[in-house]
Formats: sequence, structure tokens, C-alpha cells
Amino acid sequence: MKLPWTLPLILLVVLAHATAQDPAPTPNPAAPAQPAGTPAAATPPADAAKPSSPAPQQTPAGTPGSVPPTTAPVTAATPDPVVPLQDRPYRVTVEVAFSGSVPTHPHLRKTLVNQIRAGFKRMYGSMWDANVHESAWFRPGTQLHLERLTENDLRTAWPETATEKLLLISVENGQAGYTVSCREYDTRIEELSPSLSRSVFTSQGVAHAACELGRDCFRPILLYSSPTIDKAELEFVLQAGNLLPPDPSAAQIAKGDVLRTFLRQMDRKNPGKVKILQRLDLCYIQVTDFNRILGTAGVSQDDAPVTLPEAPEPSTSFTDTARVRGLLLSHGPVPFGGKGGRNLQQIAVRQRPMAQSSRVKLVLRDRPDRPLVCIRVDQVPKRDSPPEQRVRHLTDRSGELALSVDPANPTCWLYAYSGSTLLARIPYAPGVMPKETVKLPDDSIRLGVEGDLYLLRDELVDMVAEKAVYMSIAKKASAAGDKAAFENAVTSIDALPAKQQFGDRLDAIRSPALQKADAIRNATAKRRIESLITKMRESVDKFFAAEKRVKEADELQKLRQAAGLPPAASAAPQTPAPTP
Amino acid sequence: MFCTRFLFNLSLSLSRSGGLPCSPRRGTAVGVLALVAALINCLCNPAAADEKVTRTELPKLTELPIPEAEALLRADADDKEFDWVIIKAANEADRRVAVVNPIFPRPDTLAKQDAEYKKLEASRPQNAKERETRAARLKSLKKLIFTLPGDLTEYAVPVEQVDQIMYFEDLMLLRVDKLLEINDFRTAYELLLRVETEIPGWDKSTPRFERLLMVEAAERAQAGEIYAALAMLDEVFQRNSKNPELPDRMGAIVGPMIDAAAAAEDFRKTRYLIGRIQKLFPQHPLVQATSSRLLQSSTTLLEQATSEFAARKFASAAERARRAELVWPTEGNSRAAYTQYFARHQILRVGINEFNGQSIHPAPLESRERLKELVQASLFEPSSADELTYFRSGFFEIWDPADLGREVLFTLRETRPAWQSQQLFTAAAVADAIGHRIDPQNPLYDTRLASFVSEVAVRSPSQLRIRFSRVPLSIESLLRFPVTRTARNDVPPADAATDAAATQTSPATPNTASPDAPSAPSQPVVVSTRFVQTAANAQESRWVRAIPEPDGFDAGKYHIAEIQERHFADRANMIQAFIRGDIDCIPHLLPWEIESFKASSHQVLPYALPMTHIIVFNPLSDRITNAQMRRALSFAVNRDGILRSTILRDPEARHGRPTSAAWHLASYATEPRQKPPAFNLRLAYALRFAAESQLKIAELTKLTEAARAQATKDKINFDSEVFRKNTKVDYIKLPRLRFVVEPDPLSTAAAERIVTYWQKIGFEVDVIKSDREGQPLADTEWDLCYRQLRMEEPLLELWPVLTNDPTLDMKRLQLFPDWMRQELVGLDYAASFVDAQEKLFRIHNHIAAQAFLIPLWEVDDYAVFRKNVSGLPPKLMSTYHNVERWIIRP
Repeated sequence: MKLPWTLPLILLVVLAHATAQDPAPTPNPAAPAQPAGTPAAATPPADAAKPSSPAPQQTPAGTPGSVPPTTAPVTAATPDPVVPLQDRPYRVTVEVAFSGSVPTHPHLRKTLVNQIRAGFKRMYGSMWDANVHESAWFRPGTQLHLERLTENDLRTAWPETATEKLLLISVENGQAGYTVSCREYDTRIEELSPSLSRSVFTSQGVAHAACELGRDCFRPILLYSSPTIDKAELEFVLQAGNLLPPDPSAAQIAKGDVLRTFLRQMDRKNPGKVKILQRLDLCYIQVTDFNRILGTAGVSQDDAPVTLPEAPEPSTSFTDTARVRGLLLSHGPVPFGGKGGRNLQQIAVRQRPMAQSSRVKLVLRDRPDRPLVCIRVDQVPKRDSPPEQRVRHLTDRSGELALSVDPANPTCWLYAYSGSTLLARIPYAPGVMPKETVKLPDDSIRLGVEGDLYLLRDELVDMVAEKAVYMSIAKKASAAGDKAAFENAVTSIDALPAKQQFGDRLDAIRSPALQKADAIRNATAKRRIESLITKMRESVDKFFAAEKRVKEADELQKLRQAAGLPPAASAAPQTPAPTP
Repeated sequence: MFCTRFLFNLSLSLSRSGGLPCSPRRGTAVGVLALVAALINCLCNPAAADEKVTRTELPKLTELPIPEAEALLRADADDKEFDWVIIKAANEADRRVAVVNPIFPRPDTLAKQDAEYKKLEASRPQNAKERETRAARLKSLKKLIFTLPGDLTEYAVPVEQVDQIMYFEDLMLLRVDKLLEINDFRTAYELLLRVETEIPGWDKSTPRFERLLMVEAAERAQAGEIYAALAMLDEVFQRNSKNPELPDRMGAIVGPMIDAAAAAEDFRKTRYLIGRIQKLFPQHPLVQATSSRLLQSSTTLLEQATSEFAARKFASAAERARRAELVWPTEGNSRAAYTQYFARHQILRVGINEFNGQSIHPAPLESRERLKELVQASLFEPSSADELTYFRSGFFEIWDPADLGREVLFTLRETRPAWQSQQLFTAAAVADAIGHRIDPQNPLYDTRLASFVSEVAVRSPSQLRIRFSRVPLSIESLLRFPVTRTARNDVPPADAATDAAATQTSPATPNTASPDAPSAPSQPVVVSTRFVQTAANAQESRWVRAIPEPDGFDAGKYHIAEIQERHFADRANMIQAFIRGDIDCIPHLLPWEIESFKASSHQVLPYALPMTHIIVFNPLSDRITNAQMRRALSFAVNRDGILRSTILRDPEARHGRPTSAAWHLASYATEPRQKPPAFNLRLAYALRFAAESQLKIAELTKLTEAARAQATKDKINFDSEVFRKNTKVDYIKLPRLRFVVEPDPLSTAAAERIVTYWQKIGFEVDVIKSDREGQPLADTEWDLCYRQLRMEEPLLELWPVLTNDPTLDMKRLQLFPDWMRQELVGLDYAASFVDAQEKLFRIHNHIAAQAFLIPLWEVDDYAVFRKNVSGLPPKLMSTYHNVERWIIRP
């Protein structure tokens, strides 16, 4: 068996690992040790963004991170050669902060930072161009502080030019040991990841935990390149996809991954400036193919000739780790996956599931402060799943529902109902984001009409039931020749509500509902109300059809004769003239 | 057999006047009568009287037996009474008896005749005619005139010849004497009553009455029927207080009873028995001896109470003083001491006649709410109610809304009145309590409150600010919970007991602290306690103030310090105990008892809200299939009939009315146009049929789909219409329903009546009575539930009733269609009172139309208190409404 051509590369990486495990870590010049008691900064200082090392090679506009940093010093006068995205490592800044008793031990701090630096180096190798140092502004380094950070706190201080990824790690020392927390900030999508936290008992485990948390928080970036040939899927280029991490657990893409989508509209005149950044909520890319094995001739498997199963496998000498294929899942038409234009960057972010479940909050589209409480939501793994696979949820008092992660189905579909109406059909990836908000239209007016029609229908049922009972009594009375009982039964039948009364009730339901819908300019509700009313009116018309009434009158007439009573004056109603 | 020949001895110096019988038209026959011998067979053979004899003899008195009681009674009933005229003879043993028809005037006929003779003899007639009449009358008065049974002929015999007349009543009394000898009291009494009817107050019958009573009393006493014997002796005393046997007899009967009662420490009985003798014979030696003995015991007890009071052991001092009073009523200085000790530690004794223990009933019992209120002091509590319910707070001085109601600043009370039994809290403590209920991780998490509260800020130890994410319509009803804190290892026992009690009061509340783990480290415990349970057993539960009232007040300033709930298995015994003064209060009167107690001297207080009876459906039951079924059940209940006959037992229905809602009809939430569901069995039957048909249609559809799938698989043609026509699904029936009823006899009786109506229209229903111990039934074990409840704020309390769950879990709303769910949810979003009322009106209409619950009736509720309980509110919101301010006078 032939050795793959990547073997020398792997050997080189292993060698690099061995050298990285240098027992004498070098201090980070960008992270000077702070004496204990230094006032903590709530937000990063303006100079916090200054990278301690020169910026890596820049790429032309049109790809993420292509704009040279405005504040970073440029060391070379000549432009750097263009490095493709798949070959470009991530520019990562790792800031470590401490709280508790750790800040009083400079040596310990230094040791921990060095261990973290070494750990990331071992884990990611050349995939990361990492700058690990102790934070000068992120103090105190607590989990709470980390969770309270918002994008606004970081957006100005950490522009895209400074770094691509900012990893904030807090090490909190308490009585029970150390609590290590981590959160990632991506400067291109300007979004903080959810925080992850872990407890360790000794300082020896801090660096290991920090690296693992950093790995779990790290969100690889993919750039949409083109649709597949059959247009069914989308193809993406993975940043640093060609730079394999030495640690397999740090692989950027794994089976079952779900990508979140973003759009970046760059300024046409100033390509380095983001004009519009849009997060496409509830729009996911489900990874279907990655690490594709390409043929020796550079022909993809799709284009390769068909071979019989028993035939020997074609020689494979190259795995394309930089390209990823995925299926777009969205609740409707979204501006993703198209051509988009030169200045539009269509980015997908791979995010590991952060929790075992997510909470989805349903709110009114026009009033996001008003949760949709007790809304019926069906969860299905696929759009065409059979009804048996349906899991029914009801939103709680906060309008939220909890969706558990299903390893077999990373994404699912949520069908939100309001009465008989499907309010929305949305894809969702549980566990990716701990909380998500979904805005749905207001269906209260239509639902109220539905309730009123229920009651009207009940009255109709009552009437039908009573009529059946009285007819039965009339038949028995007729058979027994009991004239009085027969007359009573007929009188009772005549006293039952007539079609006109039901029509009036329908109008009484329709008019105020339509007025309400008009008042809030809800044309959809109006249309649906009309539809409901029309259906109900048809049911009423069907029940009170002239033919049926004639038939009933004839039957009563026969019964009357059988009972020995004279025929009624005008029993059968006149058949109405057909409407044009 | 009383059949004797009566003979008239012709040899006697008697002659017959004219040889002919006197004509009845002429009045009395005058002259010497010839004695006619007549043989009279009184009862057996009347024809024998017609026997013609020429010479017969009268029977001797000694030979003539006293007629039997039966014969006497029969003769009396047949109006064939007779008297014996005893004729003198030389020898007393030879006296003869003539059995004659009743002689008048009677009794003492001869004496009366003699008196008339003397009077007439002394008179002076005015003329000849009068003289003639007088002479004739004088002559007749010298004779005793009588008739014989079966013979209208009048006979006369000289008065001198008559030894005595033994009247029919005399014969009865003679028979009574005989009967008393054989203890046949019933017959003797009957005979005596006849005699008393004929001759009221006859001096001959009175001693026999006494004798009868004395003999029967002895007999009853011997048989152990002491009180019956005493009642007879009382009767003897009433008839003849000078009866010499009576004091001894009384002493003989009551003496042992007094000794036994005193030995059993039943001093009430002892005093009663002493009083019973004392009433008749004040100087009876038994009275003197026993009274002095009890007085001595009482004095000793009171002295012990005094020493305990001095040692500040108020509870035991009061207990001992009560006991001293029970042994023998205190007087003078002792009375003053007793009053002081009593007032310092007042005890309210409440009679409870309900199922005691953990019932299997799946819903919270309204009757148990009293214990919750007794234990927990909530931030806000209802104070009164009419259309609306009004609240007060024992913790907050002021609560001012700001920012259009989105923010409320609460100012806490900094001083506590002496009567208040709960401690003061700081704003931080109250904030903690609110925090427990808005923290999803906390067992007390309240989703509704959490959805309203966005921020709680403590501004100072006495000021608290709550910011709401949306404006609640009623802050007070939202904050109806006690102050809690997270339990630590140093939880005092009182707190633990309170927690257990609080849990016990609300068994259906899963969020409340479990009694099994009361001291779990993170478990919140109630700290705003009002009373704390100190003892509990099957017969009695005791609760004392969490914070006692301070010393140094005048005796009249103290309030109830302890509440004792006494459980009675029998309601009659409870009422008896109330009347005897063993208990001070009956918290709930049955409807037919209300008027009786109102007519008495006791205090009968109404509850501000009536008790509403409803039937709720299990929201998770799969047997309540559809709306038609629910509506059929609702229409089949004869509300008015059951209410009048079973619940109220009053045809006028003065204290109850059929209802259309789960809340009281006077509430602002009641849609005035909504009437109680009509009783319409025909419609109910039709709806039941419709419900069953729907099940059949569903089954048919299912079978059709399966057949279609099979046909597709087999690649054969399938005609669904033909299949549906040919397929019979008659095996589909409505499921059997399980109807669980509160552990209350009244509810059970009503439920059984309801079930009979349901059975009439074809429902199969099993009644599950909850009067047995066990865990509440799981949702899989019941379908319908009979409940009594008192809804103070429909806006907030309707949801838990409909879902039978206090945690407001959305999953329990699955029974309801989406529009109904949204209407229920919308109640929390009511922006104003008018908005809330409109929403409740709408829900009221929809509940009635779809029968989401079956409203039955509402019954006015009353409690009765003894006169010595004061400080009561005019209308009770609950059993222990404002109980800290009640006072009991000795």
C-alpha cells in the first residue's frame, strides 16, 4: 500500500509538537504582568487592540479579513502576496484574565499563560496565528464578567483589522479550585459566542481546560463560493482548511455540523469597511460533504467514471479539506447562496453545540416584548417526516420552548400553529445557540373568530340533535296515533333556530373581526377570517338546504296523515330561486 | 273469661214495683223492685241474658275475680263498661255483687246522693207541685237506680242495702295493682291512662301512678337505664314531691353514678348529677358531700394555676384554671383569678367534621385552605369581597405605583401591633421571598409572577421597589404568598413544623416544601408564620401563635393564643359538643342547619363568598373525548332538583342557587346574560349519541386508511365508500368514566344523584369516593372531579382550576382548543379592569358553551360561634379570617 503524500507533513507536525513542548516558556511581551490590586478595566482600552505581533499576510478585498488593519503597523512596504483563504491561518488573540488569589502570584499567572499558549500551539499548530497573553483590560477575570460582556463592549476596541478571533479566558480561583471560562468574539461577524465554563481542582488542569474550552468556543469561518453543479447544495471554502490542526479533536468540520449564516455588505468605495452586517436567523447550512477525496488527475468523484463495486478503488492521493458542501435550510427565501455581487460576502460559521438543549422564544413580530404563550409547535426532524416522528410542544409562559439536541438529527423543523392555521415553518438547530428568538405574526383576531365559530358550530350541533330527537318523538307519536304528542313535537321542531338566525350570528362574528383586522392593517388575518366565515356559511347553507327541508316537510306530512291529523296548510318551504 | 251469671235473689227484701219493668219514658221507676235474676254473659254469649229465670242468686264478691286487663280494655273500647254494686250482707264474705251498667253520677255516687238528699231536705218548696216533686226526689235519692247490661229496665235498691259501688275504674285500678306485681308496666300504664281520662286527678289513681313510676324506675335502674329511671323519679317528684321514698330512691340511683363520673374525671357529668338531685332535694346528704369534695379539688387546681401563672407558664395556668372551672364553678376571688388566667392564654376550640388525613382526592380541598391561612401570613391577604375582592397587607405600610404601574414602591411596616403574630421583615427578606418565586431553579418558582416581575430592588431596609415587565392588573392578588427564606441547618424547630404544616395544607402543590425533606439545604421555608402547629393526632390538632402577645396588658386586651381543632367523626356529636360548650366554633354549617342556628342565641356569621360546586375534567384524560360529550354531561344534570332536595334540603332554596360559573355569581367576572345550563335530558342524550358517533367515525376512518394502505400494497382497487358502508364499528362505545368526589357526604350524595342522570342517557360512570387515605389520584386514574371551591380572584385562579394544577403548566392545557388557551393566557395580559372583565365575560360564555367545566350550584356558607367569641369580622373571608384579633371571654 502506498503511503499518502501527507505523511511527511504529519511527521513534520509531530516534530513541531515535540519542539513546542518546551519546558521553559517564553514570556509574552504584549502581556506584562500586572501587580495585584491594579484597577480593573470594565471595557478594553483603546490600545488593547494593538496586536503584539505583526499582522499576517493580507488578502485582497472580497474575502473575509482581506482589508489591512487600519491601526496595525505595517512592517513591509511592498504588498504581501495573496494567500488563498483556505491557506490562510486564523489571526487569533487569546486574552487570559485572572481573579481570586491567582492575581497575587505573578509567577503562577505567567506559567498559566505560557501553558495555555503552548497548549493552543499543540492543538492548532499552523492553523492559528495565535497571540496569547494576559489581558490588561479584562478584569476581574470571572465567569460573571465574561457573561456580561456584550458585542458593543468589544466592537470598537477589536476591529477586524486587529484580529479575526478574540478568545477571552477567565481563570477564577476559589475555595473549590479553579473555574475556567471562555468566550470567543469574531470580529468579522461581530458576535460573541456563548460562554463555556469548567471547573478544575488544581492549577495544573487550568491550561488544559482553557485550551479545550477555547477549542469548543472557536467558530471556524467558511466563505460561500458557488452552488454545486446540480444547484441543490452550496459549496464553501473553509478558512485555513488546508492547514490541518495537529490535534484531531480540533478539526474545523465534523460530521453533522450545522453552519450559521451571515451576510456582509462591504462598502463599494472602501472595500475594507463593512456597510451592512446581517445575521440570517433561522437559516442554516447542514454540512453534507467535507474532506472530499479527489482523484489524482484532479477530477472530483462526481466527474469520475462509474466503477463497479467489486472493482479496485481508484487511486486517491488528495483530500480536499478546504471545501465544504452543505444544504441550505431556511423558513423562506433568503438572500444566501446566490450571486450576491462583488461586495457581498456570504459567510457561514460553524458553531459547536454549546448545550444539550436550546430555548426558542416565540414573540409577536410587531411587538417583540410580547411572548407568544401556549403556542402549539410540532418538531419534526425533516420537512417530509411522517406524523409519527412529530413531537408536540407548547410554549411556556415566557413564550419559550426547550428543544433537545438530537445527535442523529442536528437540525429539525418547527411547525408553529395557531388553531387551524400554520403560523410558521422554520428550521432550527438545537444546541447551537442557547437561546433564539422567532418572530411570528399576530393571529389573535383570526383565532378569536375560530373560537366563536366553534361555539356557533356547537349550537348547530345542538339544533341538529334536538331536531333528531323531536323527529323521533314525532314518528313514535304518529305510529301510536297520539295526536297531541305529535303536534307538540312538530311545534318543538318549528321552534328550533332557523337559518336566518345562524346567518345573523355569522355576520355578528365577521363584522367586528374584520374591523379589528382593518384597524391594524392585517390583510392576512382579514383574508383568513373571510375564509373561515365562508366555510361556516357553506356548512349552514348545506344543512338548511331547501331540498332537505322539503324532504323533512314531506316526511312530517306523511307522519301527520299517519297520525290521523289533517294536512298542514303549508308544510314545504318554497325552493329559492337559484342565484346567478 | 269473664262470664258469670248474675243472680238476683228474690228472697231478699226487695220487691218489684207493679210487677212490671219501669218504662223508660217515665224516667225512674219508683217502688220496691223485684230483683230479677239475670244471667249475663257479657262478652261471650249475650243471648244468655235473655234466659228467663224466675229465681237466681247474685254472685258473691269473694267468688268474683277481678276482670283481666284485656277484658277491661275491650269493654272500655266497645263502650260496654260496667260497675259492681256490692250488696250488704250480715257476713262480709257473703256480700253479693250486681254487675250493672255504669252508674252516674260517679264516682262517689252514694255520697253525692246523700249530699243532695240533705240539701233537698233542707229546702222549702213554694207550692204543692214543688212539694210533690221534692218528695218524689227524696224518695228516689234513698234508692240506687241502675240498669243491667242488655236490659233497659231500671232497677232500684235501697241505699242502705248497698255496701259500696265498685266502679269500672276501680276494677281497672285493682287490675293495675295486680299488673304492677308482675312488672307489666305498659298495660298498667295504659289502664291508668284510661282511668285518668275518665276521672282526671282521681285520688285513687294518683298513688297508683306514683307506684307505677317507682316500680318501673327500680326496674330500669336495675337494667342499667339510669337516666330513664331518673326521669321516672323526676315524674314522681312532679306528681308528689312529698313522696317519702323518693330521696332514698334518688340517692340510691345517682350516688354510684356520681362516684363513677368523679372517678372518671367527668366533672361535667358529676356536676350535672349533683344538680339533678339538688334541684329536687337541696338538702340531700349526697349533694352536700359531693359538692364540698369537688369544690376542694377545684380550689386546689386553681392554686396550682396561680403558681404557674406566677412562673409565666400561661398555657398550663390557663389549662389548669379551665380544669378548675370544669371541676367546680369558681366564685368570688377565684372567679377573678380564673378570668385572668383564661384571658392570658385564650384557646379557640374548633369542631371539625371532615375526612382527616391525606385524601386521594386529586384536587386541593377548599376546606384545607383554612390551615394554610392559619400557618402562613401572606404579603397580601383578602380582607373583604363583594363584586371584587379587596386585600390588605400586614407587611406593607404603603405601596405606590409609579411609571404608569410598571413600578411599585413598597414601604414596609416598621412597627408591629401587639396582636400580630408574625414578625416584621426587612425589604431584603421580602425581596428574597420574591426572588425564590421568580427563580426557575427554585422549587417555589412561580411562572406567572416571573413573567410579570423584571426587577426587584431593595432601596432601604424598609423600602422595596418592584419593576414589572408588564403592568399587572392586581398587584395584591399577584403577591399572595408568604415570606420564605432558604433553609439552613440552623432552622429552628418551629419553622420546620410550620413548613410541614404548610405542606400538609396544600398537598396538591408540588412546589411546596416536602415534609419528607423539610431541612434540605436549598429548600425554601416559610418564615412569615402566623400560628405554629404544636401537636396533632387523629382527634385533635393544636396551633399556637408564632409570636406570643407581650406581658403587661390588661386581661381584656389579649387575644386568642391557641387554636385547637377537634375532629368529630359524627356531625351530631359535634353539634352536641358545640351546644354543651365543649367547642367554640363550627366553621361550616350545612345548609339545613343554618336557620336553626340563626334562631338560637349563637353567632351565625356568613362567609363573604359562597361555596361553588363544580365538576372539572381531567385535562390529561383521554376518555373525555370531545365537546359534545362534555356538553351531554352538563345538560343531563338536574341542578335545581338536586340542589333543593339533596344539597339544601329546602324546597325554597334560600341558601343556594344553580350557577353558571366557577366563581360566585356576584363577581365582576360573571357575564350577566349567562344562565346556568338547562336540564335537558333529550338534548343530552342526543349529544351523547353524537359523541359516540364521532368516535365511530374516527374508528371507521382509521380502518379505511389501513385498508387503503393494504390495498395499495396488494395492488388492488379500493373503494372507500363501499368499504365504509360495509364496515361495522358498533363495538365502539363511549369509555367508562371515573368520577372522583370530594370526601364530603354532601358532595357524595349530590354526585350519586348526578350519576343517576348520566346513567339515564347511557353513560357508564364509576364514582370514586375520596374518603380514604392515600396519595392523590394520578392523572391516569380519574376523568371527572367534583370540587367545592371559593374563587376570590377569577382572573388569576381560573387557570389552576381548569387545569387542576397550581404550577400553571402549559402541557395541562392540551384539553382546550388553541383559541381557549389563548383566552386563558390573555387574562394575564389584561390591561385594565374593563379589559379583564370583557375577557372574563368571553371566557365565561365559552366555558358554558363548550362545557370546559360543569358548573353546578353555589351554596351560602356560614360559620357559627358561641357568644363568648368576639372580635369577629362581619363577613368571613375564610375560616380563620383575622383570627389573631379574636377574643374569647370566659
